[in-house]
Amino acid sequence: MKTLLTGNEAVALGAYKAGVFAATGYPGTPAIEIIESIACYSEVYTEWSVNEKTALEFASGISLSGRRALVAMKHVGLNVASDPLMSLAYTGVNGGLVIAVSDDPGMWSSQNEQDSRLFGRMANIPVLEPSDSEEAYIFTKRAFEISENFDLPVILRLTRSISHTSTIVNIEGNRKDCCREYRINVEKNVLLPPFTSRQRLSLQKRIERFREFTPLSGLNTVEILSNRIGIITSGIAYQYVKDAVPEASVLKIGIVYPLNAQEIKEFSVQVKKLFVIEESEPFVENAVRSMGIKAKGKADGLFPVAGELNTTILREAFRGNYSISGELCRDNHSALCPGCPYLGVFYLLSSRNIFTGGDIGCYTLSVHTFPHVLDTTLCMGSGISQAAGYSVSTGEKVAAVIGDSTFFHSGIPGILNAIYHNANLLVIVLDNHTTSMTGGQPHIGTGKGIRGKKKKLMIEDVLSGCGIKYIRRTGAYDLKEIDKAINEGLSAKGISVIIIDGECILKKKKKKISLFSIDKKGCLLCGACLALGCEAIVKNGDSYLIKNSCNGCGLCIQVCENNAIKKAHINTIRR
Amino acid sequence: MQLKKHISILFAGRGGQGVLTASLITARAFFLSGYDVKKSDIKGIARRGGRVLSTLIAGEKIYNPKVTPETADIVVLLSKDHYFTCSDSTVSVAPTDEEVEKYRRNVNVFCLGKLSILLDIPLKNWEEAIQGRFGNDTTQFNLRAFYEGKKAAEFMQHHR
Repeated sequence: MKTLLTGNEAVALGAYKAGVFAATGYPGTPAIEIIESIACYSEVYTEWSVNEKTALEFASGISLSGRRALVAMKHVGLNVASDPLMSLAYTGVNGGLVIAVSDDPGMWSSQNEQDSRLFGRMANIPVLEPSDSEEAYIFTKRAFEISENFDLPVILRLTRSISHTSTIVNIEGNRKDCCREYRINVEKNVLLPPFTSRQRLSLQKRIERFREFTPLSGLNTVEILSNRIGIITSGIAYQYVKDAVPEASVLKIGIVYPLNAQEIKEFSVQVKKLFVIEESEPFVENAVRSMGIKAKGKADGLFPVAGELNTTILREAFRGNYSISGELCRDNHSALCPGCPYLGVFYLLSSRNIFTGGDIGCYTLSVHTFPHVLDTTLCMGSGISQAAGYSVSTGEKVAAVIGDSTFFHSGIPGILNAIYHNANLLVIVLDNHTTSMTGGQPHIGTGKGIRGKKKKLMIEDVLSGCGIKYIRRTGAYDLKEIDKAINEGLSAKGISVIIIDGECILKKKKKKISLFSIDKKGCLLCGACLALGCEAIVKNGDSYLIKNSCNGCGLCIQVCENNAIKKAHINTIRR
Repeated sequence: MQLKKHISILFAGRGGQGVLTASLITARAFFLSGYDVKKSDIKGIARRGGRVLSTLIAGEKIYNPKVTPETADIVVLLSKDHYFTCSDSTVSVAPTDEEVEKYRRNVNVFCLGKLSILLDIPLKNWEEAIQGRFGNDTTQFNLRAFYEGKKAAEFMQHHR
């Protein structure tokens, strides 16, 4: 049966057909839909884990017990999970263990670009890279077999343009049930010297045995068309190559790590000029060069390393016009939604001059509206520790903002460290009861799982357990109350915490609300409402206007000193 | 518009307007009509009121899934927030201000009706794709918008 699937949906279906018992992950674009799609199969245990490290460790427990497990995350998530990953290569697996990672070249929704294939080389484990949804489906199934046959975890490397592109997939066969027996094996699974030495050598043997197998896998394919140009390619770059240089002979690498020198050499002798074209780093290219094979590519400046490739870039490169960078996200139109529960606190912070550590979440979008509030945004959970460091260095009282999901993901260790070392810090937890930036996934603070109810943990309970004395939860739409809490929090010594409580406006259920409008007679055009940074309030010629995108939060009424903002009409928010 | 080697369409709008839904329905309609088709979305941060883009390319055999404004045969614009430099031959499909007001909840499907007169896709495949996306509850509501869009486009074509 043929159907149209995105790369992410195809990975989920491939894992399902491979009899996967569990799928875990932490939400991150562009990998989210892998977990969300697999959650539709009731046979598969699915969870949004607290972070990527716990997701991988949990999955390795499933694997130890003899069942197959899939872990899905974005590229920066693999940084968080890299600690267990490096050592899982040593212990190996019992049931198949596959880590699907989606990279984001071009940074359409990420803080950096990374090539996850490098993690595969560092850990010394197989990396498979599909070039469309059909391959994503097949490679996922094969990855589980490879994992079990060679006793290694396997990385399935995707990129945004594979994950979010729908292509036609041919689905065959039924779900297989797989379960192996668990046998206690201390020398394999307890990584303590001298067992580590044994496992170090065993890893080398396992990966070399796999390297010999790769030409027989059928996952690397050769198309000989002309002997003039030969191109070694992988992933989405294959599609651009076929369009830009249709006459070229192509070696499409499905197993990008490890490479088999024999296979590459056999292809290289059949063509006069050899190129390597791939998304992100010159990963395959460097490996090919290290085999002593002459090939041209990114190292020669022919193709860009930064950003996403496309057909035009390749076509121009073959005409001698080289691009310095690929496609990079330049869209600065994202902003906090009208009625966003974060608007009020950012508005109040914008009039204060304090160092504020930022974090990863919707609140980062505030920089377009309030460029002087956040001083940093680095990685998940980093803002609190950065602010604590700044405070120790300068002696100033500083602030850090962090979302509820990020708080549980990796904010807590930062707070512990700040308490332990006496930092002078106001932490503002922005609790919108969801993981909003990635589309509203549940987390431990919501009392919900991907399917149904779960244990709910209150942020206050965690903090008071840590011994923090000043903890205030305030509503997100009462400016006076928030202002008071910020003042108190800043004057308290040591660590103080404010929790701003307001449900994400995109998650709110349908209900009747009253929208607001500006009375032209009463309005003195003072600009106080515009300073709120609400996207719904705009300048319209000589007057101000509240657009229909108003969500009726009522913040603007509180800042208008002339009582010019009035309830306009009842509207139903559709969400 | 007759299919040449392939046809490429770019859908653009703001988050929440149904850009990705419109693109997915069109992709499925092509798929049901026997074409090779690839549909690619740019989303993520865009969800927060930002600009959403989805591109689609269909034909006999498709490799590269990317469509740029310069190479698009058709651009479907659901909001006026986008300014593209298109080629002279690019056909634009967009709702008028009155149509945006009238079809507030499904201007995306209304525009698919407008788009449909440019494409070689049998109506039954459009219907199946729309039904597949919306299920029983809202299919009729959306089919009505689709046919009204088609009628509006045919009227425009006739009176040009």
